[in-house]
Amino acid sequence: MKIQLEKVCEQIKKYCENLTYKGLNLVTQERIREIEFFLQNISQLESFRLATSLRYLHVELKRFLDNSPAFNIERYVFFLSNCWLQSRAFISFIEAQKNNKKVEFFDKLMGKLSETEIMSRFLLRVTGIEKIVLEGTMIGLIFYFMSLFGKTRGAILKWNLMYPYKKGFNPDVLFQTALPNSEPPCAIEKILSIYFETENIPTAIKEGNIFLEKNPDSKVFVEETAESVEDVFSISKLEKFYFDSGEIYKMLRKDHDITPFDLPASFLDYIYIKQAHVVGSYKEGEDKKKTPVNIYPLDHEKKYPLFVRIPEKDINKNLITKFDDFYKKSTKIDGLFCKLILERGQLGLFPLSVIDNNHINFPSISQVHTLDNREYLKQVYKVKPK
Amino acid sequence: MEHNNAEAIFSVFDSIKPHLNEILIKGIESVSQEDYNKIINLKNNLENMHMNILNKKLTSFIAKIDQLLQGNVTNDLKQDLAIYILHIITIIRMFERIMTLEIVKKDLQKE
Repeated sequence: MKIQLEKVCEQIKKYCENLTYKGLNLVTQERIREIEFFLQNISQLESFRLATSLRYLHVELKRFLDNSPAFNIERYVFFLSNCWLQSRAFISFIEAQKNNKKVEFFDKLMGKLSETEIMSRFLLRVTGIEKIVLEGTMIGLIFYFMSLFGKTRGAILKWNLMYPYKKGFNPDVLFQTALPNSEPPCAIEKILSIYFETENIPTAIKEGNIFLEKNPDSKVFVEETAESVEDVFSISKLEKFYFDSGEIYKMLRKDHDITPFDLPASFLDYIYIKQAHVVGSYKEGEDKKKTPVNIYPLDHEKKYPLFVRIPEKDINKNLITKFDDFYKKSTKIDGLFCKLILERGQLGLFPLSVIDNNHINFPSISQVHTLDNREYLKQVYKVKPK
Repeated sequence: MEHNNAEAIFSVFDSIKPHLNEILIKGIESVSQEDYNKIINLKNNLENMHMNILNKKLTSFIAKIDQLLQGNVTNDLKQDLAIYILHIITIIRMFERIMTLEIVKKDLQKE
């Protein structure tokens, strides 16, 4: 298997170098098909990371060839560079193995995910929602649940609800679609404000992903149980994410080896912020050919610098309006639950929920998502979620 | 740290990327004297900012482009040019990451 991998990686490395030398003007459909061949081989060899990079390189080259406005030069360069780096890394690893040298991080480079295990019981509560669009190929919602039971107690678990991208599609309509395996059957919006239990849910513990729809034996109980009687979310459950500057500093020292494969932005942890106040508003990258980012510097109880960073995309309209309002009206925000992201020299925040007067709200979603969505819903029910 | 300071550091990287992107679209084989002059300017800027590793790589890249513009094109030269530019992209990626970590750590230490 290693010999095969070495051969394919040599071909990929050469392909990337050739593309770099020749440029994009001579790219043809036939040349792009070569990537499909690499993809088949690499996928068979279960090198998932390289396969993902090749897939995105293929998407960008296809867009370039089709004169698609979705073509993005930065994304193309990023994935070209990734394919080249990863293929080189494999070649070096295999060479080292041949010489009986110690090989570390091979599994990491292969992109091996942890095994999915069936979790017999979860008690969950939605603590955040994010709308997401992936490179114009998928669109949907990510639900962030707090687990309140068993070995995952206190952890944040994610459920991705994604559909093929369609222009104009608003993920808000998904709240009215059926919650997979729910008992009694109900719409997804039902779980926004209750504690609920589940049974037999496939879970990738290390990555924190749960799959509510993948197992026919799964059950999502939305009727009131002893634990779910308390409908109001207890904000104190977020306290474990209330970090001071020393704790974040420790995380940076501990978890951050620099590798050439790192993304420009990296997720550090979830964070809970109290008594926040938006003290400014500006945009980054407006003059460049990339998505501008709306930035809102924050004052907060712990004082260290934090910046809410929201990319200017249609799906983020509600969030941007909300934070523009916070700034204009000098609103004091009781609490924010966010993803903590390292980007462009800042501790960046992507808001998942806002705590207001002891209630949890989801600012990314529309307050009213029950109006005339019939056409969208027809489209959604045509395609099964992946 | 004020966001303006961090922004100033990252604007250096931002100024390099469009040039590299342009070369990657048209291909190194189509690099003109005008592109060459732009790269020399870029190298001078990096020198002034003491970005030595990047500057060193760019110097080697420029030497190879010299050969290309003189018409001494061999397969080895083609491969070297491609590898140099892919290396430069990798260095920028790593620099951005290192700078982010260092700036954030410094900010946190102030508290």
